[in-house]
Amino acid sequence: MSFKRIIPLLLVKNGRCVKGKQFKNHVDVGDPVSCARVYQAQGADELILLSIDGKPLDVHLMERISKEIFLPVAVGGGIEDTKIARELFHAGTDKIVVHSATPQEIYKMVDTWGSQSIVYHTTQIWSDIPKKIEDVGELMYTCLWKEGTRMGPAIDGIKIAKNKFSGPIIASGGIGTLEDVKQVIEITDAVAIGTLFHFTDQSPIKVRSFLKNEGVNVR
Amino acid sequence: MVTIVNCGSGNLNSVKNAFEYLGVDVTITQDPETIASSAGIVVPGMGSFSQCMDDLRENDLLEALRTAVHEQKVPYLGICLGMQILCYEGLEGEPAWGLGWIPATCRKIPGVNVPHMGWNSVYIWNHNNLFKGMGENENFYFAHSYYVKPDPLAVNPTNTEIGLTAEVNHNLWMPAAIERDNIFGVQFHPEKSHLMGLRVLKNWENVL
Repeated sequence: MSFKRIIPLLLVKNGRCVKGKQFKNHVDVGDPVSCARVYQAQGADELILLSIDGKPLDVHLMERISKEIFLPVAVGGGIEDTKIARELFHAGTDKIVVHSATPQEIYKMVDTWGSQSIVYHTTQIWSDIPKKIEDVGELMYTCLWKEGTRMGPAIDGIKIAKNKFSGPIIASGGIGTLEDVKQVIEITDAVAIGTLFHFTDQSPIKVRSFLKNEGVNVR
Repeated sequence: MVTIVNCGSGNLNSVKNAFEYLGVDVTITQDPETIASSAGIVVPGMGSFSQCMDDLRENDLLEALRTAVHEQKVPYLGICLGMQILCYEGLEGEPAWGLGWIPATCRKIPGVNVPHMGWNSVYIWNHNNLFKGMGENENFYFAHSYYVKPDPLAVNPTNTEIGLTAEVNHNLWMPAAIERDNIFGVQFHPEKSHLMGLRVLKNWENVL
């Protein structure tokens, strides 16, 4: 059985890492390459970078990250078609995270790069998910109204996600304490963490140590 | 010069970056002559079995690879799909012929929670080459839905026929790494497995 994964989540806007609440009111939290470097040193299992300025992540930024990060890196935000996806893959991305791409485009991406390279990101787990997403490798669910609030994860939403998708699930949104991380990771395969790492002194090292002591199957 | 064979839609740059980080001269190519004269050949994998084989075929690389690996004994390192295409055939959708260099077929991992995605503990049986200097088990990153299944009809229907050097368990025990003469394969992604992964690449480079 593979280990459960601790994944720092980086939101990127105009070349900088930012963080806010409910995907609004973002403040600068650092340079993406430096952040990635630190997370790698702190034993992150993977990294997810989501571009939130309306455009896909800058290819040159991805190239710089790829030169020194030897962990799986998933990139998302603004990836609507295979052309953009191809550029990002060539730059060193390992997985792309799709959100608003059409089911036809998603199917093309799965067909070209294999399901293990495509992650479908949804913030609306309660409504219907397009049929085609059954083909993707992983599902990422972010509870929008909890995002950045540290008010606690949306366990109900995560359970719905588990019913709708049979593959690995990455959950994010609302994590405020180590207990929250444990609650989430016990029922999913991976947890993506933003605010907790950016604005508190928790780190992948501390999270991993805590989870191991609690008997969770992490690396 | 190590050549990375560009077969289709692979994420070649991660592998290239990893070798460059280790100070190894590496080039990405589809040119049969460059491949024939390289010190080592790396075939990274992404996409489907049949697509990868089609790409190699369309670019006249099958013969170049066969000559380099079997006649000139250039060391080969297959990563993920690059290891899977060593099989006789793959059953991903339509059956497709592989390189046929190991007596095995490429099959879908049975059960739920597929693809096998994430870090997993690899049990190492052979520390001679790729896993030199490592412990009994180490963690590496996997991302695949198909696996190398040793051929049950082979003369010696055990994993020794394919040169199993390490195993991993996800729904079932499957080869994590194989080694036969100058042919090496790893099911995991060393370029995504941080320090241990980099060490595997460095160990392979030491074989050249």
